[in-house]
Amino acid sequence: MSELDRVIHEPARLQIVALLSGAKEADFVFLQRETGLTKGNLSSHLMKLEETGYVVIEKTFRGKIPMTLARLTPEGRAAFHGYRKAMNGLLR
Amino acid sequence: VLQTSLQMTVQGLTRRPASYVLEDGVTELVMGCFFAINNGAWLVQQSQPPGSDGTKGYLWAAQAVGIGAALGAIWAMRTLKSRVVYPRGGFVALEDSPKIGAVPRRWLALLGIWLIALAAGVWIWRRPPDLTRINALAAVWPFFVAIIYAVGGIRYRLTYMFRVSAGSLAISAWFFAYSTGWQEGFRAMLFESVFLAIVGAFRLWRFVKTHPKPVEDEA
Repeated sequence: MSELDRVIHEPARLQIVALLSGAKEADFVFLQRETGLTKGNLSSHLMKLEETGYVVIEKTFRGKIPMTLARLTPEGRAAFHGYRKAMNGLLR
Repeated sequence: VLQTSLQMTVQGLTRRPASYVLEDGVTELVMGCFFAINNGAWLVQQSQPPGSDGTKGYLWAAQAVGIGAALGAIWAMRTLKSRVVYPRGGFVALEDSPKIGAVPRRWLALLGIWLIALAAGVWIWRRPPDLTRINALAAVWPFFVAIIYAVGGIRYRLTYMFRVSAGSLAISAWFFAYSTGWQEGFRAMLFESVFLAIVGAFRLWRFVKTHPKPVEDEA
């Protein structure tokens, strides 16, 4: 278990990171709908990922509608890749 | 079993953004309408008696309709995505494929066109065909769409793509069997376009039903 990245290992954050790994960027609405988390929960997990440097959060506007975009950083992608490898190794 | 199920769950999540982008039916609806209008205009132009005064005018009109439909398609795609899809299901931008992105796309497209032209040239040179009698030409477009959707279905694991592929293949087979020549190509494209537009409209309707607009503003 010591090989596993604790930040990503949390189920909700694993969901968020896995979703973001398949996209260039995604907004809050998409992440909330797909993960089924509450707004507060999703916000706190995104903040945690941002603090670790795995995710970049950008507040922007699409027309007049406010939008919160999240994007995996190269470090976040590498960490997710490493997590998957470590997980496969542990379960083998 | 645990490893397989975890891998599948994570893999499913990583693939979800790509399938989400395709599930609203906007692409089929807009492209179907664009090609239907375009091919409808060419069918009207084609129905004019050859050499008549109106033929040239219809020729210009068909081209103008094509350009207008292309601009309209871009506008409709953006509007439907930003006003209907994103507020309900959220916004996702996909990563460019690194494999294709590594080679400039225009060079790949040019290479493809060149290879097709070369193959056609060799075929005509070896056995000059009477194009007006080749029924298969009318079936080319629906067949092409069927291939694209079959490949998409395998790549994104979306069953609806296989259904669209099967429908397109049926249209292609029908025109292959019953068309009287290449001129029927516009009619085949019109059929295929209307089919795609209906599929898109149905999928968009289902998307709206299953994705109600969030009541509160986002956090």
